[in-house]
Amino acid sequence: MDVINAYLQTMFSPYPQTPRLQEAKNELRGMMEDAYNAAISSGRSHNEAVGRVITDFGNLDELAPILGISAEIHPADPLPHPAQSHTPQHRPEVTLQEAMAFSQVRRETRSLLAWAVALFVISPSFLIALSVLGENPAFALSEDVGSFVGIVILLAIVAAGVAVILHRSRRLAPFSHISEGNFEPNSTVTAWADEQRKEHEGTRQRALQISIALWILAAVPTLASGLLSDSVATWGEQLPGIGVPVTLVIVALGLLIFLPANWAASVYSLLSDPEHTARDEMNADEADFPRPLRALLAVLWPLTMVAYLLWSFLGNAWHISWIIWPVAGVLTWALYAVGSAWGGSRD
Amino acid sequence: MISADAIRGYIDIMVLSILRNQPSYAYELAKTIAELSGGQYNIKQTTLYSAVKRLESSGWVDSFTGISETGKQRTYYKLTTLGSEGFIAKCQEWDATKSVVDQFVKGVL
Repeated sequence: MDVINAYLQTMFSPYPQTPRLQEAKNELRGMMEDAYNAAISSGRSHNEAVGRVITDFGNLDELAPILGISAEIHPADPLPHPAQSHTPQHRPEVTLQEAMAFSQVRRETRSLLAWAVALFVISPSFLIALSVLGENPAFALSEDVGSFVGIVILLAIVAAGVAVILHRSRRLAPFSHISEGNFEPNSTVTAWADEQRKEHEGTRQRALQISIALWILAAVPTLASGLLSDSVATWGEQLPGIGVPVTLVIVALGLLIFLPANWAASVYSLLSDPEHTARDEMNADEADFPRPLRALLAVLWPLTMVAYLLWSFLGNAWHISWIIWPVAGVLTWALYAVGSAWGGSRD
Repeated sequence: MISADAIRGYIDIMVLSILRNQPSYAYELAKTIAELSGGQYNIKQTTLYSAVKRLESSGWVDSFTGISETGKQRTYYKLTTLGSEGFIAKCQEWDATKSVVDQFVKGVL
């Protein structure tokens, strides 16, 4: 029932809360609850019942004359077709059924994106661990063999991550127009998506708090392995070979906790603001960055890979060349921070 | 499926006809309309609510608060004398409308 309550709250919130409007809200709520209960007792699921009730709600325009909110619903506007100046090309309006199906698939695939990103994050762990530990003659693998095995594992993990991403894209393919922001938003769909977002916001906030705590703590193993390396007699030099991978695993764990909890918020922002999504479907904020910065971000990771391989092979520096990866990571972070500050200062 | 636009003018007749038998409440009215239309017309809640309120403000129906089977408060509607007379007039109007439109549709289907 909370969903129905909140839906009505959202639909009526822009208008003055007169006794007449309050009465209409109460009676419509009663009607929707009756309809919901009838749908449930005929064997429908909670989600289907809510969808049915919201689809049958109708249009607030019809109530405007009897509620005395005509002026608010149709504000006098000197421009005959104000909407057309913003959207010259015709885009199909998203329907509630479509939005619910999209949301359902996003919900079902919510762990896939998290696993793919987590796999990418941990992919260099074995390379770092084996190449650094390999420096110590007491380790089972030599430095070169360790590096080779590490690269093979890295590529295998990246391949697994790519496979997961492709599988997810296939599931979401029927909704590409929503993912790309190629539709007209609809107030009923937006209200429904907002309601769903609010319903899952508690979980998302808790997940975010845990993840942020993990991301802060993630620095500890790397810092500890660097600081303690001198005070440990044997293997001290190789401590970062354990510390850095542990850091990556903790970062990945944070992603695995946060990303699956973010689906409802992400569905809401996609459905409510297609313009924002359409500007840049991968990263809406990046579109505000100055052009040189965008170019730098685009080539940063491929360049890092090239630099890593050149340095490692030509300089035979496998024991230390891994440092390039965390440096590139911090650099990306810093560039994003600069870009966001730039975008913010222009607003 | 009958479009909402095609049937808009006749919702009053449906509501008045149902209320002639016994007082009823919003959801039951919507359900009865859906059942009697054999699934051809599914009335939106806002459409029904605005029709009922319009009839109430013109004095054709009266509302009163009753208690549902589950014990919650519910607004019921009943037909007034004015509404009964109005219903007959609406039925005559529909009959006339139908025979006029039928002249144009005759033999097509």
